[in-house]
Amino acid sequence: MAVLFAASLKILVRDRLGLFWALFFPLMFIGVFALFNLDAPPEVDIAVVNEAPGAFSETLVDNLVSVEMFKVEPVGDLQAARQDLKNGEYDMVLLLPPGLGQNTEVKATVFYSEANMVTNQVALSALRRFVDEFNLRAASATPTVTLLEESTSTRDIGYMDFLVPGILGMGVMNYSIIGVATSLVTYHEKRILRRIQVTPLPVAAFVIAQVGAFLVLSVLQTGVILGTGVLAGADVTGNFVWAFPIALMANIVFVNLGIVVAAASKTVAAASGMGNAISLPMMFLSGVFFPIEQLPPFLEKLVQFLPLTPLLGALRTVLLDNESILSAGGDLALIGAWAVAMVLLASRLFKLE
Amino acid sequence: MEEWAVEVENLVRRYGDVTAVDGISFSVRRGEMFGIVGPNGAGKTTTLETIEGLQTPTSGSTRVLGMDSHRQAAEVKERIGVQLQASAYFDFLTLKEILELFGSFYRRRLPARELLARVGLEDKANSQVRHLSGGQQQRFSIIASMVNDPELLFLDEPTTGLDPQARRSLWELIRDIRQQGTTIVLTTHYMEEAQTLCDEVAIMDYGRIVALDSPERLIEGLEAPFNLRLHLSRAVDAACLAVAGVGQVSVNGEGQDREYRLQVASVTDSLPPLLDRLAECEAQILDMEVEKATLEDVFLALTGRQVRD
Repeated sequence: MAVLFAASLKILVRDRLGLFWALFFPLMFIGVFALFNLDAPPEVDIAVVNEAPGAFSETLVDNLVSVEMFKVEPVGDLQAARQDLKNGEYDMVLLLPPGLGQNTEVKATVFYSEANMVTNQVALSALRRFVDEFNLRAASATPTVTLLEESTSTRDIGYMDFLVPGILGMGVMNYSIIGVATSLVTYHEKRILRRIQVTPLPVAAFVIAQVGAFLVLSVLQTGVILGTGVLAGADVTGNFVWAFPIALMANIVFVNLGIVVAAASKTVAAASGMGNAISLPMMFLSGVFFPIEQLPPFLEKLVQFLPLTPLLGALRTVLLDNESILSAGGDLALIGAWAVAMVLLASRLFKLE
Repeated sequence: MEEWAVEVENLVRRYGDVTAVDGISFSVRRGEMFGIVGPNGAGKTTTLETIEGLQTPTSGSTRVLGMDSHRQAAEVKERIGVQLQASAYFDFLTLKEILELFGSFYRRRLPARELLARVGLEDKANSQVRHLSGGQQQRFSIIASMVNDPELLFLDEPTTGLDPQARRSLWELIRDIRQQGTTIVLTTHYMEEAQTLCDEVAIMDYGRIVALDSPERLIEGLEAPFNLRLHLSRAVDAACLAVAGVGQVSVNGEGQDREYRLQVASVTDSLPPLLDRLAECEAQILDMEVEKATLEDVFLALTGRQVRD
């Protein structure tokens, strides 16, 4: 059995393409999202055309400059500025017309480009807030209500922090479902399973060794993906030790799902197609890239029962909230139920011939 | 020690409405090289896989080394070696690793190096199977089925798809294994292969055994155990060749290359009247060749078809 297990591991580790899907594919996601730098506050380039020189407009511009988000550039010509806005050089152009601050009929005008939706939303609301606050201060009024913001988390959770546990769950799931399914179908096609059948080794022992190798690989995956996440600036070191048993346990679900897929597929192409058909929707629905709370309520109720959802929930509990594995009890119970069901289904369906 | 390596009794194997094996019986003596021959689809592989314990008989029984191949499957598997038709081995493992892996499944095992040396693949010990030539792969597949030093070896179509040279070198290997005392049961659809290698052959057609004996006796048992190949000075019709003792006649080729192949019971008896008849037809023999009939002819005589029809 030791020789068999060692051989099964060697096969996985020497399979470059398999390792690509196991490790580099998830790491690529982390790399790409790290490049987008979604956690950094957005920066808005504003060109200010000041046609009302004087103390009032200068105070206004000074205040505008002091807002961290705005990168202010004074320009002289409105037409040129609007052309530059079109070309994407500025996100916004703010016109301060003559008489501003003296005549209430005179309004400051902001020009923006439709092309840049996300920035517009953020920048426009920030600009509105800025104008409101400026007016309040100009009127020397004290706000009657102020808002104190307090998050449920003990710390700020950035997008990368949220993403890395998601990528970990996705990587383990993809590799195990598709890897197990395609390798078993390959063994069937190449009549290797038949070849095992004429030896005294039970075919079940052979399959268990293969699947066991995938479980070991998922421990390696967990380490590599979390490590890369940390290098990419994610704070996912919480109770990271617990991530290993959680990923391992959930992987029992996925490797058995792989066996079920293999049992239902005649060719390698069919196995990888069916594997993808199962893992892709989970990847988008179970909260790899965004919280499932953002889904329509009926869908949210549904997807929380998919096997990837409790895995991600449990991983985020220990990695982001620094909680012990016990706090993820509900998620673990759901994973456990899936594991039992999948082991039973796999052992029923996977028959030779 | 039991005398019989394999005993098959009234074996029937049906798949739904299709009867792959239709009530066959035969026995293989220890130390013998036994061939199951016949065209594709005759039921050879099904027979072999049932004996090996891979398939369950619909009725009848198969015994291997004195044990029931299904009820005592575990013990049978320890002592036999099986090379499957068109079976491949693992990518990403070296020859040595594969042999050691398969060896680990058995109580008794031979060292990988010794096995590789036997087929001249020592220097490929650390290569992977996909880097071997077709002939090397086939040789490897045979030694991989011998990691447990089996008393009985099953080879299913061992030379299919090989070029003539590789086939001959594989024949040498199979003979050599037999010399060491291993009983061998092989299937083939190459009659020539069965004739050169086997002590006993069972000729199968449509799931039945149509002949069972040594190749020599099967050929001698033919009504016309000789072939006469003739090239004639002019084309003649069948009537010019019809003399006593001439069996089936076949004609191959056109013009100068036209060859007449006559099955005859005795060359000395048939040749004089044949020469007379050809003279009447104003044809002369340009070239004549006499050869002994082959298993191919036996199959033709038994079924009226060529093996590869």
